[in-house]
Amino acid sequence: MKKKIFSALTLTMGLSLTACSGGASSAPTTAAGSAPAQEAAPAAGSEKSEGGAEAQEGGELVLGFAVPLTGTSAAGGEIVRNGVQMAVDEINEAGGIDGKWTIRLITEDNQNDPSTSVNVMEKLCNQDNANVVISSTASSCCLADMEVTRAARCPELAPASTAASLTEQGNEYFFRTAVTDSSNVVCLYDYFTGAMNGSRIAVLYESNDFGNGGYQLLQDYAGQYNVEIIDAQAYNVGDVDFSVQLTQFKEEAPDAIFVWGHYEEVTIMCKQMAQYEVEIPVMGTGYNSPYLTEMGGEFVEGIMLSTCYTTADPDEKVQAFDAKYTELYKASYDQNAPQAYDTVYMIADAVTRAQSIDREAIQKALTEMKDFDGLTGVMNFDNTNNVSKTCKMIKIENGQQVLCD
Amino acid sequence: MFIQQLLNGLTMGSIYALLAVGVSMIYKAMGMMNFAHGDTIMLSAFFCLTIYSAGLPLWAAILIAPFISAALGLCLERFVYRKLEYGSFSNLLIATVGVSFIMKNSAVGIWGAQKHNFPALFSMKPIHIGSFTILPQCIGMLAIAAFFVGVLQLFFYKTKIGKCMRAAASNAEGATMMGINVSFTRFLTFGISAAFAAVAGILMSPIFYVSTTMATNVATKGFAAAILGGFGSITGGFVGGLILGIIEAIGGAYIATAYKDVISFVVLILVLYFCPNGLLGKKTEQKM
Repeated sequence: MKKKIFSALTLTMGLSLTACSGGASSAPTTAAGSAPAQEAAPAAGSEKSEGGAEAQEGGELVLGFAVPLTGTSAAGGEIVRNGVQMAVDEINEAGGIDGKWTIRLITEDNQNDPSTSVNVMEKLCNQDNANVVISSTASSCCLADMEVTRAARCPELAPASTAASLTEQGNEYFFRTAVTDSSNVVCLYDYFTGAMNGSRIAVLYESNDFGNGGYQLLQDYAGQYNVEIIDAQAYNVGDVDFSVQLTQFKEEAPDAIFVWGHYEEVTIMCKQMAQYEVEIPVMGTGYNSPYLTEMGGEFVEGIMLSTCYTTADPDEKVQAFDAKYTELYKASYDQNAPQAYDTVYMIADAVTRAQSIDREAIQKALTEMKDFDGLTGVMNFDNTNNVSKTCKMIKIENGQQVLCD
Repeated sequence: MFIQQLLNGLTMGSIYALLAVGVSMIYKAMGMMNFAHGDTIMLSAFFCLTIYSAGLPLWAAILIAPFISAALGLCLERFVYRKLEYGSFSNLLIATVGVSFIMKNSAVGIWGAQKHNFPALFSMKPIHIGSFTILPQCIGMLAIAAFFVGVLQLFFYKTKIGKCMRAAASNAEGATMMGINVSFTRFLTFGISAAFAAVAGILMSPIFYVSTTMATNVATKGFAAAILGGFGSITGGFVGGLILGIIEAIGGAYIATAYKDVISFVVLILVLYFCPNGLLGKKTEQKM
């Protein structure tokens, strides 16, 4: 009978493994040639700028845009598309970029599938002759389609892909405009060592790429901020008991607990902090979600987090964007909408400075971008074309997000 | 510090104990493993929450939910497992896995994949004993788990129907010849087990939140606890659960919290190596 029980246990483990691997879909990259996705904007063959070499006196900038509009990531893709569309419409209504170039947006559905995204990018770069493209996808799609843009020497901007590997490919035509965790670490440490005058932290992070990466960055930046990491504890996604970690932190009494995790676990953590009477400030990133306050209620009062975009920011641009987005689309959105919106304006800024819509000229102007002031902070590209943003610290007060001062 | 971590382990330990007793009971009574037990727990939590959200007082919801779950368990026995005639261990096993998938996906369809808040059952104020902290929910869960285990133990060993159930489990053919209605005892066992799952589900809800995946991780731990204590032994399942919770807490504190699941399974394998029938399990001779 024991044997049977063991074989049964092995079976469940096998089943749960299959279930896990089902989540991370990595479709094989097939050769190009299958039917491309439907065309969103009619591509009338008027004066094509052929990569835009001689369009100095104005005309039309072709902006290629690959985004998941069907499939599992359709909801996230919709948010990014709204952000891009808003910016393009605004620029065109104002007479185009620098009054010279109107934007023709060609949107293609890449279904959040790496092989489809390659086909879509081929079409945008080589048939539509896009001057610049935006790729809003899972990082795996960007990783696949960036080879197409590199070969075509067409600048590609990614406003929603966060995997570190994307900018480690040595691809100078690829620009990440999504906020990176380095920007969050800088923001957190600035506030912690400045306003809070703290020096000793304990770290509680998710045991996966996201959490481990965050913990690594916290260690990397600790030296320059004179921060001492006195303890670091990992937890697994789905954990519901943090008593072991919290008991240790209570005894060690750090100035703050830095959390790299999602709202599901963070709300439980905060509840248990109250139960075990651990009164240490909590700050971190990853758990910015409307559900944080909905699930956490009174227990998440006072919790702090770093983000590149918050509607709690009284800044005029942010408030105008929020009002306009809500009016136009009547739906909630996440930070990817303003990041996508900023990305379009970044392109406009580069074209204005280059006074050209040539692919190479735009690429060069983007690398030279300096202190671009957008909805999601003040931005610059580093030498790997990774954007750095000035993030903001926010705090939960009476169930609302407010800016920390 | 050591004692405090030991106390911390008791909360999760009580949950594992409740799960282990639920699966052990089915195994004891009908010699099958029920992989849908975790999903019965999840559905029970949703039943309770739905009744509560409909406007009934919490105590009423807590009283009604186990009956709905028991009805569900009885239906499953009558319309699914009985059809498989309890003949093949592996057929039944796969059937429970299938039922588990159906339950989980139906729950997603009905209640969505979102987590739901559940009102606290015990006071949030911690109790201090010397320099140690213990949560009321920990004491409450431990007491409730111990109470139900005691009741089950009495039921199986002191009542006639309980003895019949054990007889039916150990030798169905022999029991039938002695005039025991074997299908009825099986039917009843499933009902009791499902009601027991509801108790676990309701106790878990304030800590785990109510969601379709709330019992997925702990169900595996429940099986591990049952094996650790000795599969088929009710007190063994209870003790195994508590030990597993404590090992996790101590291992997490002194080795690494990220590896606490690994630690508990390593201990399980070691125990089985030296003590193949679990800590409290009895060696049973299979007579040919």
